[in-house]
Amino acid sequence: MSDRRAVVHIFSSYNNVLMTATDLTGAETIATCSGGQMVKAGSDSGGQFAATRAAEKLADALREKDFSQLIIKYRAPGGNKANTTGPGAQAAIRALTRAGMTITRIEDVTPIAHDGTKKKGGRRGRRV
Amino acid sequence: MARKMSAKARAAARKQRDKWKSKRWFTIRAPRDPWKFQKIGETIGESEDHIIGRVYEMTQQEFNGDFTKMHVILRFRVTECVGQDALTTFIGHHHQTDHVARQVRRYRGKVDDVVDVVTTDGYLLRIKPLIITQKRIQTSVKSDMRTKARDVIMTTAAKMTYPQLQSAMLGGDLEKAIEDAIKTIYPVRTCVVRKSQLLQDGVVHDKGPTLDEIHAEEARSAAELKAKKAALLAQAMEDEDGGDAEADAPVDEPEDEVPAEDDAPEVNNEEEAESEVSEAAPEADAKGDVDLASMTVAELKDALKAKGLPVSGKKEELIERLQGA
Repeated sequence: MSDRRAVVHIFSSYNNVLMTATDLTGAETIATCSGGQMVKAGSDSGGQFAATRAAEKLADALREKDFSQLIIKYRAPGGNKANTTGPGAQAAIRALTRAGMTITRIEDVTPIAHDGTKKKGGRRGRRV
Repeated sequence: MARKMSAKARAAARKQRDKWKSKRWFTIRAPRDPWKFQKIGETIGESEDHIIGRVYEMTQQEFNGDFTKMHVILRFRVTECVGQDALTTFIGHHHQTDHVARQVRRYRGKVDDVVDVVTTDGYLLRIKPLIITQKRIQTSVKSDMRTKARDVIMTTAAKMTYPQLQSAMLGGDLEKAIEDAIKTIYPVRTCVVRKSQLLQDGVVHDKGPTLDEIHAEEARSAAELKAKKAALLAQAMEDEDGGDAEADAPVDEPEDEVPAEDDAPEVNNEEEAESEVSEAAPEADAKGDVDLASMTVAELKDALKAKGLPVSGKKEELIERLQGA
């Protein structure tokens, strides 16, 4: 039985990529991995390289447990933070396909605020 | 320090692996009434207590193969476990956000609403219709459309049971009814039920086949499939043997004018009951001409070659030649 399906949740911000593979209900974790485990510099952990390496590791872990079909749910920080994904999301998805996984569905699950609290940074924005 | 950490981590990893082995797989089944306990997915868990309350999401396309519904996501919650089966209730659906966002544009009117309805069997359901018009419209027109849509939803839902409402909502009947009612007010581009949420359970139905019946049915169809496969395999073996023994074997095939697909059930019948063979045979004969036409040119050429006839010419000519021979 090698065509089990899993859901890969990818959280991609500019600072990191977190990936969690779960079963179809999302209640049972199969494997986790993150960009920060793959590179030394903290500022690189949200990058494409880290994401690719992390995705490869995740794919290995999934294959070990006989999962080959994936549903991908990716998200950016969302809410009152950035609504755009970091550079790692694309790279991770590509790496998963490269690793021989069949991707049946890709879905954006970024939480979108319809109202809510004030974004951090103050009235005049972040002054760098 | 580092060593200590790694040792701990390794222990944790071992513990986790052991846990994984102790878990078992449950088959997720759709609700009984409209969906007849259809198998929809799998989940893994240690015990039944862990499974209950989980929410399983799937697209409507996966459910019934309708690719126009690939953006519709159905949600099922596990309410009961029977052996390896996790039984669910339908707790609503929603359209993918990017699909909705793509349709909302400048110079189009958008009408959104939230309608709470109670079905005849006491289910409280929240329905969120979304109407997008061809052109930009005034607020007064929008509110007209909103009230009309709300009316239609209320009146339809109040007459239906929960399973009926589900099929009306997902099958498009409700959407059609709303559209028919409001398109006299202003031309509509899209009219959909964007989201539904089950807020409160009602009376549980016992319509439709029971789980035992479904199990029996599945076992039967699996056995049938197995028998069919075995029969096909046996026939393939036979064909192979025949081909090896004498070169005439393929020649017989086109004369009978029975394609391989029709042979399979016959073999099946021979194993089970001979009386049915007589029924199947005339059917196959009647199909003969049609099947010649439905064969590809390559297949026709093979058949001609086997008879020792020339293989040049158009498909019609090939068929004529085959029939003449």
